[in-house]
Amino acid sequence: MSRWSYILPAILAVIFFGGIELFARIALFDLVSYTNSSKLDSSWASAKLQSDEIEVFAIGSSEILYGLDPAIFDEIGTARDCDAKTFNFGIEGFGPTHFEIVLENVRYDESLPSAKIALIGINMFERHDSIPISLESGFNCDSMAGDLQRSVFTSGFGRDTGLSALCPHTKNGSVFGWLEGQLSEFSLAYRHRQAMRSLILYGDAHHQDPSRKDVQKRVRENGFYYSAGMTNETLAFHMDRWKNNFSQIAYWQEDVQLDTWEDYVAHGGIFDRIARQVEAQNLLPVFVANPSNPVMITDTNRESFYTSNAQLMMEWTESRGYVFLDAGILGSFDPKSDFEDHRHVSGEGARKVSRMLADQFFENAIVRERIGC
Amino acid sequence: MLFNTPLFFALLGASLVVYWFARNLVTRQIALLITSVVFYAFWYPPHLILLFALVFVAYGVSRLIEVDEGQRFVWMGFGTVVVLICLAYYKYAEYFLTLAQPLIQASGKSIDPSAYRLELPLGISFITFQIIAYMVDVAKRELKPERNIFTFSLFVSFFPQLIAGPICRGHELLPQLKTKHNFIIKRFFSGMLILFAGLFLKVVFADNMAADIDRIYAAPSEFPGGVLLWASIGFGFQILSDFWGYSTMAVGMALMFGIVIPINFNLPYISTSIQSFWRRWHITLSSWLRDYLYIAVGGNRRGKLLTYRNLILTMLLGGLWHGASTNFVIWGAIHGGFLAIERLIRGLITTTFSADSAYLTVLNWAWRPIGWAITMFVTFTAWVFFRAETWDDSVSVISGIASAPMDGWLTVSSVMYVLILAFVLLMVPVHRYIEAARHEKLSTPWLLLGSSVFLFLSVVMTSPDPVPFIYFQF
Repeated sequence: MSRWSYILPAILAVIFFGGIELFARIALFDLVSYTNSSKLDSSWASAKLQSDEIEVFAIGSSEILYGLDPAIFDEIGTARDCDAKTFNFGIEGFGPTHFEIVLENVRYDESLPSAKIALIGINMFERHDSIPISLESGFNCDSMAGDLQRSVFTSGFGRDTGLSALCPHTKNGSVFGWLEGQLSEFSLAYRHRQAMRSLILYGDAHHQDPSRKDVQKRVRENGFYYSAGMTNETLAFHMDRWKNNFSQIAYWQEDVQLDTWEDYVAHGGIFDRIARQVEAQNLLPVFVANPSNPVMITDTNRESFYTSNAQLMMEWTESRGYVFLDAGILGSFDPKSDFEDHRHVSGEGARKVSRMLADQFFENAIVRERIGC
Repeated sequence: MLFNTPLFFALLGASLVVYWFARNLVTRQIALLITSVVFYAFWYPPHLILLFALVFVAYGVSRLIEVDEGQRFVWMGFGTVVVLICLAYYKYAEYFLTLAQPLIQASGKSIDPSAYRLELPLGISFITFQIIAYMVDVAKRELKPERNIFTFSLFVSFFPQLIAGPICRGHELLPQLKTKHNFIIKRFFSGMLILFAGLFLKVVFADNMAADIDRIYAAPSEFPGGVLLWASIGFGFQILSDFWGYSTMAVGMALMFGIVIPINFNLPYISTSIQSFWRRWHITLSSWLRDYLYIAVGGNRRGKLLTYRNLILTMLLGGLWHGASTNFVIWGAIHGGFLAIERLIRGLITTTFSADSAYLTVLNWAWRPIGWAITMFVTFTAWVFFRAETWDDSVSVISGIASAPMDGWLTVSSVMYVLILAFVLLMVPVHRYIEAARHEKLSTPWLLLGSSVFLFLSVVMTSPDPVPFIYFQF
């Protein structure tokens, strides 16, 4: 065999594999969605541009995404001589378990070098069955709703944040799982192979989605998702939908035990674990009650549950030296203009509730000390 | 345990290590037999009993043929009937009872055919054909019966081709199983390249097409003609890439053990006649049908009319072999009918023109594109019956396409267009590369490059959910 019979295949191998790896590192996510979600794509792109300035950021579910307006925080901070750039990283479908996974995998202290405080959105009237004792059981990703559905879990973002590990079928404890982990570290082309597959098979279908532009318009530069509120028709539609869901989902009709929350705030409970993860990134954890439509709370008969949980959270944060912000049950808000649907507040409602939360936030001595004002 | 899963590759890897490090032939045979048993047991362990019962029947019959030469065809017939009864019991009991329902009811009795729906033992159709071919070859004295039951068990259960072929003849496989092969690195890597090329065909093309085609064929009446048209064209490519992929993986795996088994596909979609198609599609089945069925019922030895009848009958039974369904019979009838028509036309041409006629040369040349178009039209139309679950579904598809073939093209997933175009462009180069590897014409660096490219593309393009091989159901 001539020397060229070795050299030529070697050159071709370098061109083929090197070219693909280079493409994955430089251009892949310019051509295919990083998160498989228009909302997430927009907020992640904005965050990237402001990464050096963000000092306070919120993570949590859609109730945080729709309900916490960073512009109000910025405005009130300035008014109180405590300038701090705030960003909203709320994600639809985000539950307590996601905190543990995201905080374990995303190094906010590295990607947001100025960050000092993490606002952690907590739902105060749910039993939090979604908090598994162990993550081994994982989620049934195929039937999950919201933005954190399977497509997001298996996106480049899902892989980078470790969210994909929440789907049991992506877990592989065998030697293949180990090999896959090693290869994923070594090669981005391999790590983001599903994105490559999407690009080859579907082209830029995600970018051509007509709803994408509308979503992009509504995602503000600070990550906040603006919604206009309800008209008489949409109010009726959302209430009907809620009543229909309510009657079908047994969970909403169950009585909840008032002592359920005690496990969460116990030593080593979910909130202890979340707080420790946040502190490990040199950030102050500030827990925020998710701004929710009171219809959800009254229809499910959980006013006393909410109040009791809020009290427990307050005591727990005080005992640990953290902060808890609670705007309470938003009973005085307008049922139409202040809400987007039966669950979320609208842009108008967000302005009001954010003002209430920001007031508490910037009054708090621990917060002011951490920001340095 | 699918060929395209990590677990199978772990089993294959372990088997290869033991096989090539074993010092003697018996240890190697044990390694192969254990791998085959584990592989088969993974699907449904009780069916191992059936597998080995068939092995014992065929082995016993072949020994009886040897000791009772005068009655060898009687013994062969007995063995064939036993094996076919077993196949019929598992595969056709419900179907024939459903067909016979009016007669049963007329006699005042009542039987529920669905009570005879049985878990089909994996690969039983292929195993049956391999065993029948062996018994016939022994009876015709074309093959010496294998005396070592251990080797014979391995011949029947050799895992690369156990589930869906290629159907190996005794003279092809038995001598190789009794040979202690030397490890030749080039041959090993050639096998590896062929294995990964097959994986590439399966996971890149067949699996990625499967979801859309399954969705459309699950409720064909809900889709416009253009969508049905592309789903049907897509299925033609899906089944080729699926079965070609499987067969290629089998050939590659066997070669990694130093064993050569026949190929099953030779670019069937470039055929310019149905006869040529069957010389290129599922080659080991069509040659089996020719040698053990068509010739057995008279072949072309008893005049033209009987030849046409034999062709149609062979293909009808070939269709029925695929499964207990009227649609498979229709699929076979379409192929058998067109084989007969082609033979009739060919007969007319050869009687009209002399062999050295210039007209015949021109006609042959001009006929190619027309013949190709007709062959593809017939083949892809027949696939509709093969794929549709029921007669009504096939009628929905055919009538939908016929009434509005252009409707809904824009709603067809881009995946279908991308994959069909890519398959058409890559089909010939991939086939040539596989053939070059099979004939050990490539040097080790080229084999390693090809293997890694095929493996990488398979990993990148693999569908999140593994899809079983289509032919595993037969």
